[in-house]
Amino acid sequence: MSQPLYWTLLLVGLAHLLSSCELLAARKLFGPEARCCWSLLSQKFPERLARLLQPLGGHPGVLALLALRASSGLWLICCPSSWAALVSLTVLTIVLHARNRPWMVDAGDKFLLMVTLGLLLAGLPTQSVLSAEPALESVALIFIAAQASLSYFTAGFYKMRNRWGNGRFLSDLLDCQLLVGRTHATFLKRYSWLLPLMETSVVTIQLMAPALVLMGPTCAKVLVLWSFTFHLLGAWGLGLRTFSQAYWTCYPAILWCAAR
Amino acid sequence: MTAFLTVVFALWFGLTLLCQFIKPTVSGRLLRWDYPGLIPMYRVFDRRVQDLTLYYRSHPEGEWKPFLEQREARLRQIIWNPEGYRHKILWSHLRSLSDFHHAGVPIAPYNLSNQGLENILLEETECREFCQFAVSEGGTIIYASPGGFAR
Repeated sequence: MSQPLYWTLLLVGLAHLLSSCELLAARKLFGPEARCCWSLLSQKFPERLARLLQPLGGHPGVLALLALRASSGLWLICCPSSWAALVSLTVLTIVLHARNRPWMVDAGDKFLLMVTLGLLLAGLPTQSVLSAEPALESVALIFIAAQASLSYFTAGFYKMRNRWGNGRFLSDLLDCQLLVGRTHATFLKRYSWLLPLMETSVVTIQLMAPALVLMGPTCAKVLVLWSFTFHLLGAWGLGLRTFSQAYWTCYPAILWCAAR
Repeated sequence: MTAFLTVVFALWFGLTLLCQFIKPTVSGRLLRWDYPGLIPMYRVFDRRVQDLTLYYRSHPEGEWKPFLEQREARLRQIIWNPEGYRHKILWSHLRSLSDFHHAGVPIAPYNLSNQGLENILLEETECREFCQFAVSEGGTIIYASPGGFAR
């Protein structure tokens, strides 16, 4: 049994479970008059299709889908070799993404779907990821690590192109009360000299992500440690919890790739 | 099967790599690693638009009131007109006006949340026009990812 794949599966199950529970806790968002109500979101579908999807997209339907996804996440944690759990997670996630776009699908959600789909493909021939052929197992792990590096690099590239580094972006962000809690804003503003440093470090590490994976286990550990802290801070300060849950799933693949 | 799946993985990654930089307007869901609003956000940033809240704060009400009235009329038409409903609504990454209101953006005298306009969205084109307007006025805009907010 492959340890990196085993841990990836566990983390994927956990990420789906947490993200579904979080949405279930915020179920008011799906209510009849709320921002993510079906009457509004169904406008992106043709009329007939929207009517057909009503039972799934409507308020009780979407909650049932989320509960099912949470159960499938739990199923994968309890039984990581279950390919059916991965199929269920993939289908439910795709349906929920289609339903919730554009409000509640971010890059974290997309990343998690990509890892889930990648694992599903790896387990296709044997109907279990944990008993996948060694060659396919390696390909899947390389794929996940490469996608993670690429996603960091892209984010760093755009940030660099848009002159991140002088602290202005984070400073503006702190003024947006909807994004940043008052406590966090006050705390960070007290140490405003840290902001340019934080921006520079984010851009630098994101741009270096692919190189760090290729430079061996020690550098990969630095990347994983930085990524963990970065996403934890994002979750704590900006409420970007899906990013942390999703990106934790790629750590076993990154460390495995770096060790080779 | 293994060889086939290896090719699938390779193609998938290759396409993703290509889509990051070759055609930035492509919005393939599994092919781009950016925030949902990264493209409009950074385009906006390219135009030196930084903070909508600052924009509103730095402009006297009267200057942007006609603009907002015009926007509102069009948005009302798009959202509430039954014919407008049939039209393809281009989903914007920008947030609803009411969200700006909730974020502490002083968009008085329009109390959007009290007027039942909670679900008004900006069309993509309108979002672009709005940003251009804001820039031409020397204003600044901050864009925030709806996904992160919604949670």
